[in-house]
Amino acid sequence: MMRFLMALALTVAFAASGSGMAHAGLSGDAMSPAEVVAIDRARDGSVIVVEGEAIGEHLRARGGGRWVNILGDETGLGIWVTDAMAEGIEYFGDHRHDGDIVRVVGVVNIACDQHAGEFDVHAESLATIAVGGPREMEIQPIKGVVGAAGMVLAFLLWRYYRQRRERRML
Amino acid sequence: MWLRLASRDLRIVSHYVGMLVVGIGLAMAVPIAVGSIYAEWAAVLDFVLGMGVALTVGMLLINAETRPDRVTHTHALAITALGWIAAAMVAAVPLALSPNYDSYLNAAFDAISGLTVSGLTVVSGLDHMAISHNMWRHLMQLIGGQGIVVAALSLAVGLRGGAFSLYLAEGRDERILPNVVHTARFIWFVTAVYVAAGTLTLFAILTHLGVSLDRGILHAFWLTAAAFDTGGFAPQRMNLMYYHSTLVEMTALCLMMAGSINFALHAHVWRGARDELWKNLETRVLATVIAIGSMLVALGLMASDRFPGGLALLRKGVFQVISGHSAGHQTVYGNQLLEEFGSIGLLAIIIGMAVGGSLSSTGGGVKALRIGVITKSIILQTKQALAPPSSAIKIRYHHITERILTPDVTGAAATVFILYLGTYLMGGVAGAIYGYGIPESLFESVSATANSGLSIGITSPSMPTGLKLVYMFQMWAGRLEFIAVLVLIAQVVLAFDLKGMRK
Repeated sequence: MMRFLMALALTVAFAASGSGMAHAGLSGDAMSPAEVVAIDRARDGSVIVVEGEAIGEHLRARGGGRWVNILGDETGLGIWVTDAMAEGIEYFGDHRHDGDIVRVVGVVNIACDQHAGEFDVHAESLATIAVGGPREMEIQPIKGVVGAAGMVLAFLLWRYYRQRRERRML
Repeated sequence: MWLRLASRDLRIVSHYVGMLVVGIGLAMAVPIAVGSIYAEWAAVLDFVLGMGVALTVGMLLINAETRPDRVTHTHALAITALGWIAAAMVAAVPLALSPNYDSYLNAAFDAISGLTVSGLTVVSGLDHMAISHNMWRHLMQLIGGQGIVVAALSLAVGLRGGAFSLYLAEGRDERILPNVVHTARFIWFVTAVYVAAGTLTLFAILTHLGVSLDRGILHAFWLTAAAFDTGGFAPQRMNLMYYHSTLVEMTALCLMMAGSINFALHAHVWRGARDELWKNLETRVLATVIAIGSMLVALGLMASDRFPGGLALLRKGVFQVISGHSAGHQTVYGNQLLEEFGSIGLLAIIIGMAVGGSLSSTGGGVKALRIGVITKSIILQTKQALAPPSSAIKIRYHHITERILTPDVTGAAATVFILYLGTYLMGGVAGAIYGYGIPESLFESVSATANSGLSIGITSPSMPTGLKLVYMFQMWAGRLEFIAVLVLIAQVVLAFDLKGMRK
């Protein structure tokens, strides 16, 4: 109950302070996944706030609920969420998309009892603070031109090799 | 008496190295095809350029000699040592052109790591990497796991004798079938069966977890290739932790164990000689080291008083022990190895990585059979010391056939053991010089040399350049079991002996 009240209080506080922050990326008052992974072990089981980009897809969790993996500072972190929370995420990051930036308030477990030792966060609330979207990949035609020229050159070298070899065999 | 490579020898070596480079260039057709299916045109152009560079460089090298003689043992060692470097250098070109690598050096690091099936990585933004680039990273592990020379041998491309020398030079000790080309093809056949079975199994599990069909088949293939080839790459930054699935981890565990087993043993078991699995000294040593390591890791984890029950110990502890021996897939974060495993658990994983897998497998490290042979030799020496001077004491061991331990076998095993040990320590010292702690430095050094791929956190895009070069050398030398590398170094030294060249 205490945890729930703490989480509720934190959620309200962050919702109030974070208005108008959409598309702003990570805010300064939450931890990154990398910071959570390196968290002081004495805080195992405490309520934390973490922000990161939702990546991949949401996955079925054993015993109910879903897994959402978030990314920040080149570190991923598993967040155990309800089905409704998972469905609320619009974009997951992959080669074609930037994922939604989500803020999670939840309990950090260094070796979760419920999930066979997973390092995870059990979300008590999840909010999207920046919506993701398609990623643009710049096409550089010069690469294709140079590559094609290389292939033509390689073909000519192969012909030259064949001619020299046949001449030596004669 | 040193066999110096003359000008014509160098042309022969260049010719065959060029063939390997052309092979790597042609293999880029796979990511080009995959990228075209997914309309990843930016990434496709990276591979078009990479293929153009590889084919041009390869054909230039091939042109060095138009009628190469028979490949001698010295040629084979030089071809293998140089071939692996040249292959990695051209394989790195498309990676370097992608937005996921800050520099060519980082791309070359991952190319060497991929081909040597080490699994250490300095990639950035892996979770946003193009499908074709991910395909290339894992394809490199599939090619490298079997050996790029074995891949060429299985095609028997333009080789004028010396196939067995090339096969041995790539760190393989046994001919499985009488014909070495058939041996190479058998290795690919075994791999194809495991990769097909693993991909189908993981595909079923991943789609059950909610992964879409196309991502499911790609991830299943990539994870299978990385696990069976004891590579350790994964398409997500979290490695196997991404999936939060015991079934995925246990499937990967089975594939890693299969990949760690000697292909000669696979052949015997497939022919019906299943008792070979229990009689073989190599599997006995491997099982013993894994059992002791698992117990020590379990003790370390239990001492941290955080891990709840047997399943957690299996997923986080035993898995890391077996992974250390083989692929280097991770189910814990690097810093957890320091924080949760305790000194005894960390030591057990370092020893596991150092021992590695089996001879003629996709695994690295000293290899279990050599540890068994050295142990038997110690027993023999002790018995001889205790016996009357006139007595003749022999020790037998079983590895495919019954064998008697000879000084030659012991000496060869001890030589490789000492070379590995020295390289483990050298890398550890290098890490310490750059300011990392001794346990972390030793861990990463052993992981690189033994081509394990577990990381305690040192390996990253921002690690010092000097340390990247040290680990690249360790991955290359460890994969080839040093002899080919030492021969290459000796030839370079001899090439500077101008007096000798004039003669």
